[in-house]
Amino acid sequence: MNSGNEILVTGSGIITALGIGKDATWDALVNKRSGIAPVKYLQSSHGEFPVGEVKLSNEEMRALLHIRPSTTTVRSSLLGIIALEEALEEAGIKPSYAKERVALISGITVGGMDQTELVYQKLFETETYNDYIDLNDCGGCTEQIADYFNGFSSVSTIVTACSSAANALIMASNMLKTGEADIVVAGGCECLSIYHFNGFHTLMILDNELCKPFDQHRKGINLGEGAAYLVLETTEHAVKRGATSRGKLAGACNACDAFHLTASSPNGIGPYLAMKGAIENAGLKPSAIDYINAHGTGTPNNDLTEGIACMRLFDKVPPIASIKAFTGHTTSAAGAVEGVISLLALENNYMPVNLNFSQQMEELNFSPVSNPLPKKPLKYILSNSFGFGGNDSSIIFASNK
Amino acid sequence: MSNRLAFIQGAAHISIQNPLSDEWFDAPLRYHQLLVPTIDPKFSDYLPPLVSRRMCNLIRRAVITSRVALNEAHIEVPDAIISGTGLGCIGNTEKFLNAINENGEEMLPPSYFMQSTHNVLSSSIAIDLKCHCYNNTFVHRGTSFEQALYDTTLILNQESIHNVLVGGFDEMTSKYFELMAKAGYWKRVEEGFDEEQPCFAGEVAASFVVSDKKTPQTTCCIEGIKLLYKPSVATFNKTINQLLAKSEHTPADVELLLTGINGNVKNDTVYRQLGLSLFDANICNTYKDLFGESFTAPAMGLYALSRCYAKKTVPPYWHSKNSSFGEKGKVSLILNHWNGKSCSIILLSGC
Amino acid sequence: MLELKNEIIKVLNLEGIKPEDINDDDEMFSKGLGLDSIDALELIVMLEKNYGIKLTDPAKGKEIFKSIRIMAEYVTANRKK
Repeated sequence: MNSGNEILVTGSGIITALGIGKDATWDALVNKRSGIAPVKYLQSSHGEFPVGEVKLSNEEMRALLHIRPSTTTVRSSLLGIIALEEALEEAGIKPSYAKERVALISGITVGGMDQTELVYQKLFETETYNDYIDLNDCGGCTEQIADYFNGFSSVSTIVTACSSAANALIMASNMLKTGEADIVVAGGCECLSIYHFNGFHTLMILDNELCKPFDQHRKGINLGEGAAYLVLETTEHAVKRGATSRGKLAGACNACDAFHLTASSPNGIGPYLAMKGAIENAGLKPSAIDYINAHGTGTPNNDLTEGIACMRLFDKVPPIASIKAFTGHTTSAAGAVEGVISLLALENNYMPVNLNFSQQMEELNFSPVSNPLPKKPLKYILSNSFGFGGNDSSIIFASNK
Repeated sequence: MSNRLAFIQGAAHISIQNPLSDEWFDAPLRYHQLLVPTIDPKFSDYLPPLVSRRMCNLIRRAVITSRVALNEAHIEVPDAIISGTGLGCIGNTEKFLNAINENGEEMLPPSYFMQSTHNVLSSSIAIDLKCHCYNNTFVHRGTSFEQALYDTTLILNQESIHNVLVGGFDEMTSKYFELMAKAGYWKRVEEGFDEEQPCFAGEVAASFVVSDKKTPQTTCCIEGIKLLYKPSVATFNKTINQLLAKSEHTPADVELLLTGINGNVKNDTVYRQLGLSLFDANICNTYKDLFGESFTAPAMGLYALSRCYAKKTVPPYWHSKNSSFGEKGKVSLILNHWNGKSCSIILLSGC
Repeated sequence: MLELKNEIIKVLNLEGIKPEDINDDDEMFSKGLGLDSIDALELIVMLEKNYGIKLTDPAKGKEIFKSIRIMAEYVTANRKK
């Protein structure tokens, strides 16, 4: 690819169960400190399932953001704003002052359901909760995030469940390559809600203990919440405005499993095509991948399918790990949360480990990285996000070097 | 949409007008009620019961219109599937939510949850067509469909993508209608249909095959599409002019304008500021009086206009500058906004 | 077993299927009715709602739902309602 047209990451921000910001996140990862704990804020009766909750109440987040008590907010937007603030600050951008076209693309699936589900009956009985109506749908949440900053030239919302943020990053890359925007901020946000907590529960894919990705005895997911955004621009543009590159989005691909709405196919065609496509899109061979940030949710189905797809694609599967036992499954935000973590890994030449692993899966010929490996220069990381409906996305992040 | 033009090769709708047909053109059904449901075809004519049993009606409409559009375009499997929807299968979302409220988080039906994730539409289409290609879903209020169409034009720049199946799909329940009435989008049930402010809610299912080259099936060309967020009037008008200039046209070449004017005062006022000042009022036409208001109503606007290009004429109740429609050198515009925040501009021409 | 068949038809929305179309010993999943993993989950919910039988392991469901006869025997032996 023409080096003036590479896609650079010039800023990023993150908030998860591990804490606010990249420093807190990285500190937890390196010290193997999981953020998964018993439910604290979510008002669900299923207290037996541990979750990756952000350790802040809505009131505390509003205070951090200086949002007046009279302003109606939803939790996903608050998470999104916090992460976006860190990203924009690092990139040195204030969209409301920018002369360039700064677009926002955000992935989310629950929308404002965390509030809607609490006030649902009252929405019909009184006029007091009408503000929540425009915040219920997914686009309404993204607009609340956008309006906190003002100045975005366009605002889009992608909803493909667990691959939403990854697809936002892919679209951002496409917009930049076609000159449709000068800077694109892409990522995703998602808070816990009783609605989807119960949804995952009825699908019987939650683990009532800490999840064990890629383990023979894995039982399911620990649901999480969070947000992350990446500021993307071409090399040419970054150089022109004197922005610093934190890493690159070197390749990406989205493919569809087209098998079933919630289960992944036995042969993993969707994940295989996504990973293969991303590697080809980056102009690489599979052997160039130093580390795979797996989707690795810990469900019997996903980890098997993803594992089989990896074995199909790679002669020797490179070091691979899921960080979902650290953050929980951040669903719509996962692609960006794990993108930020992948970039941190590249910057620090350290591969985050796969927690809670003890026994290799009998169908696979590899085990995940469960203990820290010696530091070595990392150049390319492949990050997977596979969503409901067989929506499979893979992104290659590259270091600056 | 920097490099490539895009061509509509096939299209189909199931809406509040007679489905999978163009009877709306000469003899549209006219409604004087606040919420108008879809006129569905006989689903079993298209989908065997065991296939469609778990599909809610919106998914059935999405799958069927996709098949019909592909058939019209003479394409078997597209290279990408992209959907826009404002609320997804909201009926199922409500059912799952009600089940939680009634059963207290126990014994909940998984199917409703599964279908309430908005990308169930794009996924169901992909499963039906066995399509492993790029698959995406946009959920952004009144520009959900245009965002899907915009993504279509982005990915058509890729070498391996030639035909994209893109659609707009929305259903409306009586409960959600009530909420949106409270939010001011249309009159409340107790206020009744108002002939002076005749905005009413409809439902949408429209699928298009959009390709990177012209074929004998092509009806019209998408010369450009732009998304804007909270633009000033100056920016909005400047963007229209830029789109026109890029395709080597001027405002004088615009022979027809389609806007989202729907009879709701707050909505309509914004249109009178945005863009209309550039053009004669007598070429401004509406489509929401035919197809109702909905987050993805613009998909029906595009559908209707693409059919005008196919017929080389406009319906008797619309006005364009020239008696013959879609001649070389002439273009039309579809302008849309939701709440004055998320806006879109689509530039079309005949082929 | 007729009661069970009617319940299954209702819960799984098997339009156009009548109880007499379902053979007692036919496989319900990979062949026969061609039910899938979501149907299995719906049947698990039905077992709890109608018969008070709570299953927490989806794999157990696979064994029980092998055929109508096996399912009926399990329900008879374990029902609390």
